[in-house]
Amino acid sequence: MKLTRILLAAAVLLVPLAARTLWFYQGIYTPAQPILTPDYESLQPPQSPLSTPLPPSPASAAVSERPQTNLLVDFTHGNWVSLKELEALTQPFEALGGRTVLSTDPYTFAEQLKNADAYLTAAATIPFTAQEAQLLTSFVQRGGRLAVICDPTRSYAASPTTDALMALSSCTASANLLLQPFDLAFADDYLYNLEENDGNFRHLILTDIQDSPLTQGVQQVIFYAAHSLKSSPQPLLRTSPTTRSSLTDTPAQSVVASLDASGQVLAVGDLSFLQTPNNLMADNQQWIARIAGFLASDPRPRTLAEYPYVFQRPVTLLVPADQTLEKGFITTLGAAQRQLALLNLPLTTAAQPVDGSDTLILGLYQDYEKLAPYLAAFDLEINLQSGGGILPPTPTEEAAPPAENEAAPTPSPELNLEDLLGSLETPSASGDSITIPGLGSVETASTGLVLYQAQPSGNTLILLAATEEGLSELANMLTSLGLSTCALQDNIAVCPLTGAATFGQG
Amino acid sequence: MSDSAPTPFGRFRALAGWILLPLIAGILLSLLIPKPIIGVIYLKDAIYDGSAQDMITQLIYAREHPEVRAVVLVVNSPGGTVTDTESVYLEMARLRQTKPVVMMVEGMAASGAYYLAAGSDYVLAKPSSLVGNIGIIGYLPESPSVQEEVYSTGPYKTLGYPRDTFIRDMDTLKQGFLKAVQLGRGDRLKIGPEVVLRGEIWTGTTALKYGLIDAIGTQSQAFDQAAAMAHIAHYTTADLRTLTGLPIFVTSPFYYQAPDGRMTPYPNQSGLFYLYVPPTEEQP
Repeated sequence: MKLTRILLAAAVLLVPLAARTLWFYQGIYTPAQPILTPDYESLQPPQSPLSTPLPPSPASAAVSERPQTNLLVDFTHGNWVSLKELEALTQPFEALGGRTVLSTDPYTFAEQLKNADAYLTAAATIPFTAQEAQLLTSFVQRGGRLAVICDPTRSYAASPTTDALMALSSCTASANLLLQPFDLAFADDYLYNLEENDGNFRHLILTDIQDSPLTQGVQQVIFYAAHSLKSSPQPLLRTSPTTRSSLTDTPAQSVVASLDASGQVLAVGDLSFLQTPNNLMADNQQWIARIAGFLASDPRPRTLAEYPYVFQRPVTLLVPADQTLEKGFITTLGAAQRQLALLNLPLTTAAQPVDGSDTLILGLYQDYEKLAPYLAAFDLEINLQSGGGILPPTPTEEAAPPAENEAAPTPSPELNLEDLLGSLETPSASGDSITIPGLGSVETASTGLVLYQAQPSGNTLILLAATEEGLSELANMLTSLGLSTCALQDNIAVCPLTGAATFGQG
Repeated sequence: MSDSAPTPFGRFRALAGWILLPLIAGILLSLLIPKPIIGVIYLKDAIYDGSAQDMITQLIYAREHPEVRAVVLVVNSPGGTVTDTESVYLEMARLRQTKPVVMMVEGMAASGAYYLAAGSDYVLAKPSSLVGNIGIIGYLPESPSVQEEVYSTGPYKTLGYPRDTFIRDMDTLKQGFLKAVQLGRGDRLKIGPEVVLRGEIWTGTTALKYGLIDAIGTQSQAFDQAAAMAHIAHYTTADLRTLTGLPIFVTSPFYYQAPDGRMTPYPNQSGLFYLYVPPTEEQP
């Protein structure tokens, strides 16, 4: 009986406890699945790609034999790049015998371009003017090389709140104005690849490399942020098909570096591969060396319009060995030396052309026969009444202009300074004239001629006048004013000396 | 004296002695059984040392106090530093061994805040909440250099790491983030890594479609969900900050303040971040 009561009491005691427990707690929590966290220890950072050795540098002797190549580097278009960043490119360029010249003043751009063989503009954010674009187009047509680099990390972002000019202030907009004549164009995007990349989605591993001198020995290039090219006549580097453009976010193969159809214009959609240590990754150094080689390849032949940059090698002024130097000649020689010194070109005298040098000749019209080997290429018709009638120079086998890759022409043994400079006592008779193909005839007494011939073996500049005084005046005019007062026809300039030139029927 | 039949009073005494007293005692004892609590942790700031430490304190409290049967994180955060996010995430993983953790996304659970969402048992959001932005962001260390007046015993003593290492380490963290999302969401995740890692920020509706959250809902639904998962009823909710006795939260300068006093969305210090930086007109 008592036991029953104890059990009853216990039951009664437990009822509230059970009731409250069940009121609040209806089961026991157990995780539905094991609680897993990442195995952080197993995560591995992506490894750097291996680099391949650099190609051997050309022998210094081979480099020194070539005329120096000038690379004009643009710093006048809001270029979001420093010279230090471009060193990865300019140093191998200079190792190949090139000279880097900075373009920092837009007002001297046209003049600097005359002496350039290659032009590099990187991350330009201020558009090129129509005139600048035209100058560069003409530059390429004359054999110059143009390299345009854009980078999506170095482009001002256009936003709806900025004005139209600001929207133009991007590298792609600026570069495309320049590249349009060459059928090249950057897309205003950036490329990325979430599946195959070098440590980051915007680091593109480029293995689709087209055969070209610019890609010789290059097997893998890493770009660290790249625009695609929406027009690319000669693609050089292409992304993998899994790469996406920020414009579409869909996978597609894109071109990130290309040449134009002529092979003279290079467009590259990334700048950061030049930066340290990016330039050392994969075959980037090889790729940079190839770009440097492209920029430093054969110098562009100059035209007379690019005076005074018509000389590309040390200059030899032809002076016969037995000649006595007169005062007027020394003055002219000194002025020419000073001007050439500004171009880092020495001017020396020699009795005959020197291999590896450009040639400067000063002559009088009356000596045209002795200058025939040099004048033949210009088809001049010289009519000297005082000298015995119309005497067009007829190219002969001996007088033919030197062919390419042949030794420089040897002047006539009769050529001497007296002959070249003539005599103050023998002014040209009135009525003497010279007929220039396509231009007409001019009176020799008041006219100086500047003739220019560019050849792989050496460039030749000939100054002709009727008298030594005229020759000195012509030389001084070129030193001080250039060809600004002269009429230019191809590689012939006609310069008035003591009065305006009179043009007759051509 | 012989045995006699119990008087009514005697019967009452017997009843009181054997039934009422145990019943009263049972009732009194039952009051010792705690009412289940759903602890609420609010995160309405970036995740950095101050806010993360507060969260960890509250998570530990929840784990150590049996009356807290579940935790609901109410979040409106763009994420924060990598280390602080991972600290909270791993503390949450410990708590989840014994108690469910539900996340309620109010305005935003971006980047590091979504890292925490992936480490929750159940995620609710509003249709217009911003969810995702999975990935890492950081400023590259400076290029190596030496200074005349500063000496150190190694080339990276002042910088921490080479730039390339920084980028590759960032990729390692990305792998960890992706893994956390995949492990946390499991079969519920409807999108692949190529979409997860795009860094997009989605609305709650899209996040639900992609399996990044479990439901569109409200805070009260989040509490109910937590109660259901913890198998409790007639619960009460409590702000764990109050229970733990933490002082009122004071925002510390996580964000860079411009000289004109304007607060920017950029961190005050360099480093690696699971952080959503909204687009702005100006860069720092």
